[in-house]
Amino acid sequence: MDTDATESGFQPHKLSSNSKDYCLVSCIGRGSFGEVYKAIFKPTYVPSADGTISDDQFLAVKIIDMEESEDDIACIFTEVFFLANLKNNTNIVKYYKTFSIGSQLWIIMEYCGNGSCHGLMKKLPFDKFLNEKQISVIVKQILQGLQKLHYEQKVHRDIKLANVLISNSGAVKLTDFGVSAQIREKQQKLNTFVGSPNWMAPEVILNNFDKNYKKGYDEKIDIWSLGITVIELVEKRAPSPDKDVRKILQATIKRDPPTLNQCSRNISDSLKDFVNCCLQKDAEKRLSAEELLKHEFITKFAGCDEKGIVNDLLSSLLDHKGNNLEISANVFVDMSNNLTADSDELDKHNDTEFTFDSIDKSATGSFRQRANTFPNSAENHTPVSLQEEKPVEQSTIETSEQEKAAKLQSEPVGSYYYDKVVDVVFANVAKRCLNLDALNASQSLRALFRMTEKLQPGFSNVFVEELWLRIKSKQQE
Amino acid sequence: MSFWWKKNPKTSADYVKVLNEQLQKLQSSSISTDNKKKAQEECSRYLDAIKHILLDETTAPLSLNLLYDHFFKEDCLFNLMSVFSMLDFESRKNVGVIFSSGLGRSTDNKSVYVDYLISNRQIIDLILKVLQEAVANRQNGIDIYLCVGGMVDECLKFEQLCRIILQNPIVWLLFDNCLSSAFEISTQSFQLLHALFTSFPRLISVEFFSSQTKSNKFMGKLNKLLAHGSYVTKRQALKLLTALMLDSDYRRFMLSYIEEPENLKLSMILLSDKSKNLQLEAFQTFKVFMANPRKSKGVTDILIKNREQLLKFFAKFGEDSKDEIFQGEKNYLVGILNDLPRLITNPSTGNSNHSSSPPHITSASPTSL
Repeated sequence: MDTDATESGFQPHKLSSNSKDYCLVSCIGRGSFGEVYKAIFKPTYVPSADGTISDDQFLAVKIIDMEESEDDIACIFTEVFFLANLKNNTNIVKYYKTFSIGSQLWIIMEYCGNGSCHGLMKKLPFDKFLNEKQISVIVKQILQGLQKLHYEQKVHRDIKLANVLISNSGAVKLTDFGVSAQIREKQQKLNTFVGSPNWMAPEVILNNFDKNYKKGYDEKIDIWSLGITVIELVEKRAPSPDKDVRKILQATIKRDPPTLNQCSRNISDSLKDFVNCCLQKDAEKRLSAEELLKHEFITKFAGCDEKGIVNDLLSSLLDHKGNNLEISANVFVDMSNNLTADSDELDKHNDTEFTFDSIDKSATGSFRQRANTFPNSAENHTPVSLQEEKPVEQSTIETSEQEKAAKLQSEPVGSYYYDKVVDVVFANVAKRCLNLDALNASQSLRALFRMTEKLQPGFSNVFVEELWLRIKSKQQE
Repeated sequence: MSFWWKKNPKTSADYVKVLNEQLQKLQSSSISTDNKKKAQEECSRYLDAIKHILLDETTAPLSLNLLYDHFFKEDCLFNLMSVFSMLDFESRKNVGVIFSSGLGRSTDNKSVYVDYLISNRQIIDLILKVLQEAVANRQNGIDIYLCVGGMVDECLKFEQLCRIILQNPIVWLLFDNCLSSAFEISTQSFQLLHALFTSFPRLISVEFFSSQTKSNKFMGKLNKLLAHGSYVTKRQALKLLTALMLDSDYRRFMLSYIEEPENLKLSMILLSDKSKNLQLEAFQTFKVFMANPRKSKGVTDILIKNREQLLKFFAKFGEDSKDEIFQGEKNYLVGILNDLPRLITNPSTGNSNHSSSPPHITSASPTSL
């Protein structure tokens, strides 16, 4: 009915429950309760002639360590049941399978190769903003996802751009149901204090901090968060008057609702009104997802090619060099996993630290300096999920842009190690190969290295340096 | 679309009537593939329409009642469950939603539909049968299990339905389903077991654990999960066990559980598991064995035999925990362990009081601690 025919999909019953069949390629984000990896399902993986891997061969694997949750692990399963119940919706990320390995829970989902909308905004040049048509088609698809959720009396509770993904074909999808909830009966209200502070609706905060307000809340909280999300799309950041979470929460309940910053650009009345309809402090006055879909800001762009618009936007931002680098990196990890099939893949992965940022695609074309080894993605802050009145010291503060720029300063460019080490090593490896398969593998890897070095001069320097440091530290142990 | 609106039934109850006609078609063995597909599509439409009416806030309460009446009472529910695996994903979900939203409705302070299901037990039995059959269904068994599991879960909110379900032998298969390799099936089964055995403690205690046979079988099934389950299974099984052990309503069960040395062994094995959470949860059951003033011989023997290891274990166990209750309990257990009679290796040096016990102590089987 509303399945997305143009998108390739995995058939869940053909995916195995054996973690060894999955090759984790890179960490693509941190959500509530876990980390998300880009992965390949080895048994059905078909490499293409040039060694690249197309985006539809990837899966997303969310790995949750249940040992970290001391109390009821049933709340972790909510997400699984949620996803399993939401098949066949174009605007919600596809769910395939879940299994457990020891204390780890592996949730296998659709991989959205174009990253999150939050990442998309980060890729925009500093003086560029989305136009209203682009905003409208993205918001429309978020609304369609929300409409489906709310129709089934489900509340997402953590709507923000970081939880809005763009699929390989350019469709917009909701993800991260880690804190979502099901309303069982009509009129039933929810009470838990969850979500991300900046996006949190006033009634969620009041319900937790104001003892006289014990009304609970319902699915309308997603609409408030959507309003903030629209501001994110327009202004490239959420309206955050303060870094202090307590102050953010206070501002949400005490001050007037945030509005679009009107001095910077021409903003149409329909967009202003749309935000205004979402950001009503009184939940009763807030429009529903269904009503918002009929709002002028959405209907005035009706009939346009939604995926086309998103894809055009993406390709205007896409840095082909960066893209290639990432694919090359994938192959390396893939190979190393295949060679050491016995070792625990996850442990291995945790040990693997690349100096380039595989999480943030905006870091294209340059390498971080060695000192900043730890990935520090601002992409997916874990939402706070607190009980009672213990706010919010844990919330992460976004890395400032300057800090980020400093991190991305590149190493001196040059192909010294490629010429003197990498290529020589590959030549020697080729001599030691005992069969044709091994020879082919080593040669295709050598070709990839050559290509990578061409596109990303200096890659081998970083790679060899890392190898050397790693070996040294292992020897010291 | 217009074609279908022309055929649109007039009153909401009519929907159930036309739905029933299609369901009967689906059930007949002589139906051709084409007609079957057609009937499936029709069912899907009608179910969607019914759900629409239910969720529409403008629907008058009277016509809602009428709709539910027909859904539950005109064999519609029974027919739906009979062809459940033939329905599509959304239709099955719709059945679940209609069932769950209607079951608890009351007219004149009477839960009419619960009462109806009580006097028509074949419906509950059929629902449980569909649930169990889903386990073997490779194509969409997981979806069906989750959906029907949700319906059973809804039933378990009502004591009398809980009683009926408890009498169905399929309940025992839920334990086996917990070991299913399909994560969703395993987890759903645990949720059902937990709801079944903890929602109405008095019912369970009086009508289930009063039978020694049932109680023993329950222990055996639960122990199997504790011993052979995965991490997730063990954690969930321990949680259920703890809930039963620490609630005074289940005293009878608790007493017979802590009587049995094999159960103590299992609890000690879990206490020494490498997972911290399993250890802490196992501590909750282990402490009950220890605190029992009238320990059985077998239990005492195991404790005496492992006295030194246990003391060594507790010296480190939960050191960094700031939970005062936990620390208090731990110290209490250490006290009990210290007071246990010592294992005497050489009978000639022991006093007469203890010399009779060593043969029994050595006969206790070793544990992995």
